[in-house]
Order: sequence, then C-alpha cells, then structure tokens
Amino acid sequence: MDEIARKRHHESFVAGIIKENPLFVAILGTCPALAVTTTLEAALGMGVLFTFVLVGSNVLISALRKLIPEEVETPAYIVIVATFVTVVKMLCEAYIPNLYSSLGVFLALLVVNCIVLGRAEAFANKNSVYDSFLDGIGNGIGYTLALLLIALIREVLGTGMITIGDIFTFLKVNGASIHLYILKGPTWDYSIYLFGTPAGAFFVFGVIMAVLAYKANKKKDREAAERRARAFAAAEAAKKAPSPIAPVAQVAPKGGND
Amino acid sequence: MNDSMKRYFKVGGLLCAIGAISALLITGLNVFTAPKIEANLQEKKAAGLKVVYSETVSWSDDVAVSGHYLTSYNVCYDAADKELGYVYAATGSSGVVKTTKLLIGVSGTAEAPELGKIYFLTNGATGAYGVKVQNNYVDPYNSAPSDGALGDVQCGATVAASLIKAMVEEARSSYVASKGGH
Repeated sequence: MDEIARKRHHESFVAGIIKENPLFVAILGTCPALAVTTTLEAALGMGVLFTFVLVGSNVLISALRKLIPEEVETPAYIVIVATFVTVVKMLCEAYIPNLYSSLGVFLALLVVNCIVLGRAEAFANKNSVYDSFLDGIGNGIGYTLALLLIALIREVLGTGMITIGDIFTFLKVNGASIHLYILKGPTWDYSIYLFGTPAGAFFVFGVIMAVLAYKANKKKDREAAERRARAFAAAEAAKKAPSPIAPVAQVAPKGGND
Repeated sequence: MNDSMKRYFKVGGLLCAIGAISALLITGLNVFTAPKIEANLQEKKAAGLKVVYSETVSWSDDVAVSGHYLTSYNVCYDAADKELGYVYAATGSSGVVKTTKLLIGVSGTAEAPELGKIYFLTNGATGAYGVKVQNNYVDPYNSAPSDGALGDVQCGATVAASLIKAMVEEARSSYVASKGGH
C-alpha cells in the first residue's frame, strides 16, 4: 500500500471522530442526540446501532455506486438505509428489548437521519468500499462519543448517579442494576431534574457547543496573532537589513514645475 | 424500443432488484426474530399480570373484547385457584403520547367493581415525560387504585393521564357488562 493511499485511509477514519465530528462540528443528527441522551446506556446503545447502520449503508452504497444511476440515487439510498435500520430494529427488539423501548421512535427515524444520508451522498458514492467503511466507522465513533458526553453530563446532573444494567441487563450484578452515586447520597441529593428534560438536553448541548466554539476561536486568534507577529518581524528585519542597491543621489530638478 | 425507454427499464429494474433483495433479507430475518419478540412480549405480559395482582400464579388464555381501547382480557388466579380479577389489555394513543399498551386490573362484583393496579406494556410517552407519567401518575395510582387517583389533575402529565383514565374507565365498564351489570 503506498503512502498516499495509507494517508487517505487514515484521513477517512480520523476525520469523523473529532475534526469533522457529525454532531459537534457538522451539527447533524441533533434530534436523536437530544432525545436519547437521558442515560449513558441508551446513548451507548444508540451510538452502536447508529454505527452499524452507517457502516453497512456506506459499504453497500459504495459497492453499488457505479450501478445506481444518478437520477435515482436518493430513493435507492433510502431503501438501502431503511433495510439496515429495519434489520437493526428487529434484532434490537428481539435481543435487547429494553434498549428498543428506551430508544422508541428514534431508532426507526435513523432511516432519515441526515448523517447517514449525508455520508452516503458526500462520501460513499464517490469513494472506494474500504474508504467508505473507514468513514462509517470514524463517523460512528465520533457520533457515539458525542452522545456519551452529553448523556454523561445529563445523567449525572439529572439523576445524581449513573445506572448500569437497566438497559443492558447482562451487566446486572446478582440480578440488580449497578448505581454509581455521584451527586446523591443516603441523606442528600444535589441532582437537578431539569437536566433529565428536553430543556436540559438543549442546555447541555448549547454549553458544549459554546465551549468548543470558544476553544476554536481562541485557536484562530492565536494563529492570527502568530501570523501578525511573523509579518511584523519580517518587516522589521527588512527595515534593518542594508539595502543591496546603493542609494541614488537626489538630483534637483532643473526646470520649474511643468 | 428507443434508448430512453431502455434506460427507464434499466433504472426501474435496478430499483426493483434493490427492493426485492431488501424484502428477502427482512423476511428471512423476521423468521428468526419473530418468535423471540413474541416470547419477550409474553414474558413482559406475565410480569405485568403479577404486578397488577401480586398473588397471580396462573391465568386464562386471552379473551378478545371489542372497544375503543380494549383488545383482550385474562382472568388471574391465585395458588388456590381463586379468581383474583380480570386484567384488561388496552392500546391507544393521544397527541404527544404515542402507542401505549396498558394492563388494567378490575375485580369485585358488577354492582361494586374494584379497580386494580395498572402496568405499562409500552409507555407511549417517551423520555422525561414518560418518567413523569410513571412517577407522578401511575405509581401514586398503583399505591391505592381509586377514582380519586385516576382523576389526578396535578400530576403534570395531563395528556397521558387522560388517556390512561379513559382506558381504565372503559375496562371497568367492560368488566361490569361481563359480570351482568349495566
């Protein structure tokens, strides 16, 4: 594998995780992100299912990209995505019923999720199967991490604890869910109900976006300041350096003004 | 056949092929998952019957009923085979509350029917609203099922509460009718 191809594969995989994160950078898929992030387990479940759908549809669309005529791209993509979503939905309902009821309608709505269709249109139909696979994995991981971050903040602030085992029942210990108390104790409770509500979801999302925007702006300002400093230093250096051309003697005009 | 017609057939054929493959895949998977999904539902229903009447040991087969919300009922029995009450299955939706499936207990006589506990097979109110319905309305109602708890107007979940109230009232009417009352 040559260096260029390796770099392209790496870029396909890494871009979606942080630099082009679908949720925090592209601001896509916000509806399920706000709705299913009440608990860490639901967010993880959604992220994993989303990644499966994204990878599957990206790979299939990329494999069929030369066969699907341009005028029917969108309907063909929707059928492919809908197939993967239906498969995921049936498997989830059969084997993880608690996750299925927790995600509710947002699982079915993956069919029209703008990240899935967006990656199909923007990436999978122009790139190889392997690159599309890596793009799907990268974006899936990026979206999952973003969901987990929102869910972690909301669950801790909203319920005062993290619960494990309610949705993924195989994680139960002696038949009981695990509760990690953080803002809650036997006689005290500092949890804030608001964070469990849709308003709390918007609030958390807004704060995270603000922090990211602040960091991005700070980075831009720093780069601009560095550029200005470099330009200033170059100008100063040019002033101080002796000119290679000898100064031309000033000659007084002979005649009057024309 | 001219070129454009050929192209239309090609495009149509391709879409049909994609659709057919999808349909086959989903049908094949359904063969494996449908029994498991049905078993999950039965398991959940059995758990629900035991919540509605905690002494339930056995129950009758589903008996179909017709109504706006009601679909069927089961008669629950304790260890001594004594009838504990009827548990109605109701399905409905209202506004923001999507498809809700509820088990409703009713016992007693036609003249004096007694409300039993209720249990969500599917809570159509999702997210924080769903939690509010459970915590502020269903749990207090289940602690002492009564018309007073049924008419709670301060639970903060009016739409879901109204739907549940309508379901419970229909179950009570059906029970009274089945026992020969009016």
